[in-house]
Amino acid sequence: MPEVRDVLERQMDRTPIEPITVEAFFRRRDSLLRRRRITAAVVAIAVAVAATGLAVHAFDRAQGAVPALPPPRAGSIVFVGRGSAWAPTDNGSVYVYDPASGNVSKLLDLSCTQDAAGHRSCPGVRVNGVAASPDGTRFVYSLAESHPDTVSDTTWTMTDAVGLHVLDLRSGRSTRIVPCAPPSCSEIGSVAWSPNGTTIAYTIDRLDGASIRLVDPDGSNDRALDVGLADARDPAWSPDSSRIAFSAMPSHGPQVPTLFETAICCDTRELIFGHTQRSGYAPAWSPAGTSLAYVQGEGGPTGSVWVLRTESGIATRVESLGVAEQSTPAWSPDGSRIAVISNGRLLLVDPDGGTTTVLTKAWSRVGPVFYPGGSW
Amino acid sequence: MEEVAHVDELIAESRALSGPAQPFEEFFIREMDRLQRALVLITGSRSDAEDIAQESFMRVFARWDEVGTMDQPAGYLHRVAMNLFRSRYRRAVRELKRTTGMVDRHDDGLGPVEDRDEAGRILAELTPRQRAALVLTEAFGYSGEEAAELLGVKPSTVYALTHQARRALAGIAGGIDA
Repeated sequence: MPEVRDVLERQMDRTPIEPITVEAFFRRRDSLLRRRRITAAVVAIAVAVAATGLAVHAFDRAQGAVPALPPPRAGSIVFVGRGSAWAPTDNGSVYVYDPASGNVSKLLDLSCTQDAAGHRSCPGVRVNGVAASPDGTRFVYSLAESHPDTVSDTTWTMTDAVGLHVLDLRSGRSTRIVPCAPPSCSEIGSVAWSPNGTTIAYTIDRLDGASIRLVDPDGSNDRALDVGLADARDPAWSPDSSRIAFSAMPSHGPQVPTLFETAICCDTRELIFGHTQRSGYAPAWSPAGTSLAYVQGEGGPTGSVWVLRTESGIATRVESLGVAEQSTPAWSPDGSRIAVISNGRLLLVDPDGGTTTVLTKAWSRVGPVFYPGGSW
Repeated sequence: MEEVAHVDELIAESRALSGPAQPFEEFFIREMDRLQRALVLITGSRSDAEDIAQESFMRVFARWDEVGTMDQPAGYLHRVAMNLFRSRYRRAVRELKRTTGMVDRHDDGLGPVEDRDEAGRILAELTPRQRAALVLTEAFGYSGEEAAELLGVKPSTVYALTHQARRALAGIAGGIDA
């Protein structure tokens, strides 16, 4: 009698494929490498232009340490550069946009280096999420392993630094407070620092979905936030640090990411919007706690920014450009603007639907977050 | 010209002494079809399978001097392919959930196979993770522990992933002609 193995083998044999010959493989390889080198060169130029003459925190791969630098100016906007397999010269560094000068500088450098012979060396990690402490002295960021595509003259330096880190801007010391390794953790995604400064919320991704965890800034008291829902991610603290808004799959109805909020002790409830729309992700409370900005998908990997007025329950679309998958809207400290990444650009959006301002060119990916204070 | 030929001979001789046990091309011809078919079964997408297979062989080729000397270079190939699958699957799940709310949806890859017989239908109803665990343990002959390492999960998870599929497929196995 045939076994399961035979059934599977038979199924594989009859699976239709377009066979790839050795010649076709090498032709395709040459074409892919050529395309990747061109993309890498374009991004290298953009990053070099943006960072010229500005101080940079260089990530020490062995120690996880960075040199001490003056903290970003109050009201600066922090975001993560576009680091992807297609742009291997910058593997997800952290940048700061200074609203006073309009300059962009690097806060944490994860870009590649190149020796005289042209051999490139890149860190095998990227920044997945970033948030500032309310007093502005520290940053929390998540480092995830990169799966870079092949670039023949590049060495990818893998580190064991994957996980959640806190960078103290006063000492320049970066400390990993939560490690991340399979099977319990595939990668750590978005992060959020509570406004009272006591707790960091973060999203932990596994192959079977995501969940939200809480940890103290020194790495102690790491615990799950039990919300009783599948694929919970994108935690956002309320201004009084008593509640967290997040997206998750609802326990019934259409399986679309839906916005919920939970009190830290208990009691998860869905945030309801209008009559027809329900889905949403990447929430952010306004400083006054009266509005919630969030992203709604629009049939592709990007979406639009909406603002929900919690008192009236009415949600309005305020920005319809392609908001990046990993971008979470961020309210300015005075609540008058929302920063968001759209089509790789850092934008300032009017929450009442007024003018949108473009702050940077197309090489942003994750974030943004406002550095505390400032004149916004 | 004479000098170039001489250098080539030296390289070939040195490889014969300490380099890969076989030319990359031979390895490619032996492994590509099987990997591609397995990836179509796992991902449910012919285009995803082609992309992952191409990228996997590119990474193997980039390190062939080292990989070619391994006892089981196919093991390295499968590890790279599973890493790429995991990475792509995670991204796809995120994007699908955010755009349509659906997960584990197939494109055209398994469609024609699904309609043909019971085995295809059962495989198509599994999640990509279940199919990956099944293909690794049954078709490629990895142990539960080895498959768990390749998939980045616990061995008990591999058992749980394959349990239902094994039972369903075992029913068919009893009913088909050898």
